[in-house]
Amino acid sequence: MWMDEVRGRERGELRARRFQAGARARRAASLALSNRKEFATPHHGAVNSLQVDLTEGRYLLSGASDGSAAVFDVWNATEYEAGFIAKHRNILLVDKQHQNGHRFAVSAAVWYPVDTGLFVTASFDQYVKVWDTNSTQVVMEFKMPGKVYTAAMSPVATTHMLIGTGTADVQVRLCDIASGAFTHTLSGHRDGIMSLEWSASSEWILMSGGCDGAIRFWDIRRAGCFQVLDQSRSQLGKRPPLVKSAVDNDHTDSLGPSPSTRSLAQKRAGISKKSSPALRKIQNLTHGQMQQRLHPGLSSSQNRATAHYGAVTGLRTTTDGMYLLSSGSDSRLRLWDIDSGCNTLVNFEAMRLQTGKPLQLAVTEDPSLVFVPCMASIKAYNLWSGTTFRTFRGHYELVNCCYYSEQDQELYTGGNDRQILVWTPSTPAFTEMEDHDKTLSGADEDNWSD
Amino acid sequence: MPRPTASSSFARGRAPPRPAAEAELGSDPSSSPAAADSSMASLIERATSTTAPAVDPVLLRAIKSSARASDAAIQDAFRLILSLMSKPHSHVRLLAFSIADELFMRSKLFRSLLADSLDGFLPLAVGFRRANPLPPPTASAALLRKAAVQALERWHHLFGAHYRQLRLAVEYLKESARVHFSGLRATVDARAAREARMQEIYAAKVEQLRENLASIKAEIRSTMDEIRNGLEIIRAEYKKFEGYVNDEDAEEEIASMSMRSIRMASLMAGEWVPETQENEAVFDALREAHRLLVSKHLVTVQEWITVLVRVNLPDNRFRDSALKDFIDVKNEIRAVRDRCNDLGLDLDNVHRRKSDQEEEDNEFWVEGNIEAPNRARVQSSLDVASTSKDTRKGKCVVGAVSDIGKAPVAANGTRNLDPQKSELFAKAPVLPWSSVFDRWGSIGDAHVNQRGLEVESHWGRVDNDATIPAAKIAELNVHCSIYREAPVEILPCHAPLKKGGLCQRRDLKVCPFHGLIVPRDTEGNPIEQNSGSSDAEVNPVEHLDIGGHSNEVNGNSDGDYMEETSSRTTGVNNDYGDMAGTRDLGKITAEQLARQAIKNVRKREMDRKAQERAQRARIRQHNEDVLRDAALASTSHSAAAYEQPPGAQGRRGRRGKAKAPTLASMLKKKVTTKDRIAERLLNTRATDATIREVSHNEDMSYREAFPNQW
Repeated sequence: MWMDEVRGRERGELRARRFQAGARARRAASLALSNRKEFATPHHGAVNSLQVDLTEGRYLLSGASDGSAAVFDVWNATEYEAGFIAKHRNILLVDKQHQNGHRFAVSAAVWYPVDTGLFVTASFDQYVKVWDTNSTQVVMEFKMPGKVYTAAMSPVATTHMLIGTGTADVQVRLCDIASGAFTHTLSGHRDGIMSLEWSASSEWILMSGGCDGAIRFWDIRRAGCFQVLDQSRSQLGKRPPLVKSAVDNDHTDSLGPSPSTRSLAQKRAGISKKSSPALRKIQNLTHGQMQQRLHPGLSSSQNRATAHYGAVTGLRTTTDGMYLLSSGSDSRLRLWDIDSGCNTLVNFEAMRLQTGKPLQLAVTEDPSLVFVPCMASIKAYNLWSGTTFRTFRGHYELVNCCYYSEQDQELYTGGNDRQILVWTPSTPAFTEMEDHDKTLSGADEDNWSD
Repeated sequence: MPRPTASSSFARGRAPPRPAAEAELGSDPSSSPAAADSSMASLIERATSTTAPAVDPVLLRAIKSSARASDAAIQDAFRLILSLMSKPHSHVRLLAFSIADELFMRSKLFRSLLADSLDGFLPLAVGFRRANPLPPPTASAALLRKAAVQALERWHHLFGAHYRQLRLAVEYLKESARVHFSGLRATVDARAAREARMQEIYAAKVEQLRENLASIKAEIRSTMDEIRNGLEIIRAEYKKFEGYVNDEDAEEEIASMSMRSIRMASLMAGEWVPETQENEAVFDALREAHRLLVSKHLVTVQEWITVLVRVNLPDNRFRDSALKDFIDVKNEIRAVRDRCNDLGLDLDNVHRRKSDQEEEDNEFWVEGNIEAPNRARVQSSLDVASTSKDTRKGKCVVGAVSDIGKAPVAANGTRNLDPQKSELFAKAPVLPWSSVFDRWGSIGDAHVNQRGLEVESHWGRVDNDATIPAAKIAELNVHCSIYREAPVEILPCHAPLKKGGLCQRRDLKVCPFHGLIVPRDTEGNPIEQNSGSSDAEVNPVEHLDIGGHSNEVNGNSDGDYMEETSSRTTGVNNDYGDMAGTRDLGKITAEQLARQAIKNVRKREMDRKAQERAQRARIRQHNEDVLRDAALASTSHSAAAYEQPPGAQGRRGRRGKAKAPTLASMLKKKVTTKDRIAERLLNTRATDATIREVSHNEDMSYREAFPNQW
């Protein structure tokens, strides 16, 4: 089949894009714990956050509970053990010994999306710090009102450089690197904010998940949140098929909250299943003359909607920006249609999630697989069917975060056992290593003496 | 057995077989004969369901051979072992683990299977998670843990490079779970590394030595020459000195002839050369050189020798020659040192000697002459010094001087005094030292500044001529002695005990068990001195009291008191002896005989009572035995725990033959009769229990009182 694809590509039957996607999908499907590549962990505590930079896809940034953050070169190993085990040591480490290092656990460490010259760390010592990578100095720091659970920067932003931060406080604050001040204070959640995610398609849209179980969508150009996800508002399937009238009515801006499509979706959802009276009431409200008032404060029932029972611990958008995955302390994974704000009712198979900690989920680029840290293992689910595709076992304690590097099709996971594990496709990308392996793996053969 | 080659072409990157696929393989009847599977299963079952400490080697071989036959068998074995490892029984786990270890060392497929599920397997074998520790039989659990850690270390060493999971497991156990690895391999490696490093250092040192070997040797040689020259000079000087010393001795009249003779003897013994002011410079130089030789050169030479012995060089010629040189030099140094020592040059510690000498010049108490402190000072300081020197060195054996410290008066003072005086000395009390002696016998006034030191007092001007009047001094020096209570030695009772031996109680007069304390012989029979009269029985104690007291007083320092008491004691002694002598014969009378008779009667009565008591105890013991037997016979449970005669077993009607220990029995706690009774007591109703207990108590007391044999 592999050869078939190459032939098809040769003959031009297969477009480059599809060929690439096929190869990626195949590699992603064969992930396993890598024996050839390992990170030597410099951390003395649980690894809470992992991210590979968005520009080159080369530098892995990790933040850990001992207040340290480290940067690894994913491509070039610092040394080779036993000839073929590539050992990647940290090329940069800021820890408590550093003069402005964090005093408590680093809960999130994210790259500045535009280049690798800056990175941002958020910590339980109530500070968000912006670091210069080259000089390893703090260039800016923001004092927060409480423990900072999460920090996020928009990967698509071109007009602003805001850091969204979620803290134990009820407000989402946006820190502006350009001015060194808070530009926004977004109120709406009733409890601390555990997870934040910028929209992958619009630089103005921020999504936040709180300990109160709500997922709120914010348009930072306007006051207040414009959407609260409700787990009981659901749609079947990926996306409601577009209706002619809806297309006619629709604005050109498909990303913005368009009331008409939303109401349509609601209507469809209402029709498709037995609609509760409350839902009907909302529909009536939105249908009526209140259409102009998009502020969700208008309807307290909508404002109180929850996405999970318990806290929302993790949020992740698909790379196309159409769907949102959320994990909650109710050990549930939910897939939301961002546009309609509906629960897509994908039933992810039984899982058990950590409850007290923000989790970092990962999704492959063609949204087909989602990687979820489930206690001491990582589970890969099929995004659309919700079936378990693979369970990755290797950590000895709880796993906190995983990051899927699209470029190398590698999965990095970090857990409470301080390790950062690399899961690579078992089909090697470079085949010239093969004969080298032959000579060395002589020791690992059957040895039946009797 | 050929493996499917398709999988081995992607050997490193083999995707772990999915559990589903595994299950398929296992249950698929078409793949590898079902008989093999079942045999593998039954073999492993049999191997792990024993209480034997290790897997039966025959079974193990069978398992290995059947596992070798096919991949499916290995997968089967893996699944079985994994399920056995999760059994709540450490012994089963131990046996399963040993099988797993065998297979892991041999089969690659097994290795890859186990590596993939190592994170689940390891907690079951090592039990490092606090939430689920290893299950009950603690002995097996400890064994399992040890075996698992050892095996893991071995696996890591052999296959660590091929399995990231193994590296991860070892690292986790070491760093996070703090499991202690015996680390044999690590220590060996560390030792080798250390050895290599030491070799490097040695090689560097030898290189260095190659350059400056000549200079080192020259330096040492020059020092030795210096010493030799010094010795020569002293010897030459001494020829002149000899005469001088004699002159000096002649003109200085030393009272003690013995001292002189001793000194001469010591001079004859070795070729000892006394140090004088003339040859002091030479001696100093000699000392310096000697010290340099011993403390520096000898040490360096020894160091170099050890380095040369330990170093491993490709070219050994230089090493051998250098080693030979150094050994020669060392011997030479030793010879020189020995010569110095033979000559009796105390060259080692110059400073001590010097300070000693100064001290000796100042001290005037050495000879301990109380009467004439001046005399000691008159004696030549040289003489005193040399004497003490000689004794310290121990070269000359002098009996007379050896007891200087012990009894100064006796040793030196009496030697040349008239007999009258020595008599007086014998009488004189020995006092503990005090400041009184400073002014012993003088009756004049004393200077306040009696030492004659000119001290600038910062408190103000000092009147150097101030005196203390004699009356005041007498008042201050009134001699007092503290009364110390004499420790009384209380004699043990020493009455014979029934169980043998003597009573060791120490009471002043009356032993609570054996009555008045009388002197007794070694077997405890009273030495009948003057029987009957209580006076005589008390007497020896008193006598001893007095004796002890007087002895103590002798040690004390009051002359006339001592005399008085000693005379008194002798008087008492005499008295007592007389009394004993007179009464002894006359008093073996009827009275005494009667006492003996009474004693005999009492003794017989006591014997009888003891016999009775013993009898009763025996009967009680017998009754208890009968009761216990009955209790054992009535419960079926105890059959396994106790060996019973065959008849009893038959009566019980349960399984006849003794059961072999099973795995379940390893988990079971051993139930003793006591436990069972306690349990039963707890289980029945409280009222029931109390009633029974009351009746039981009554019964017991009755039985105690009137033991009958059942």
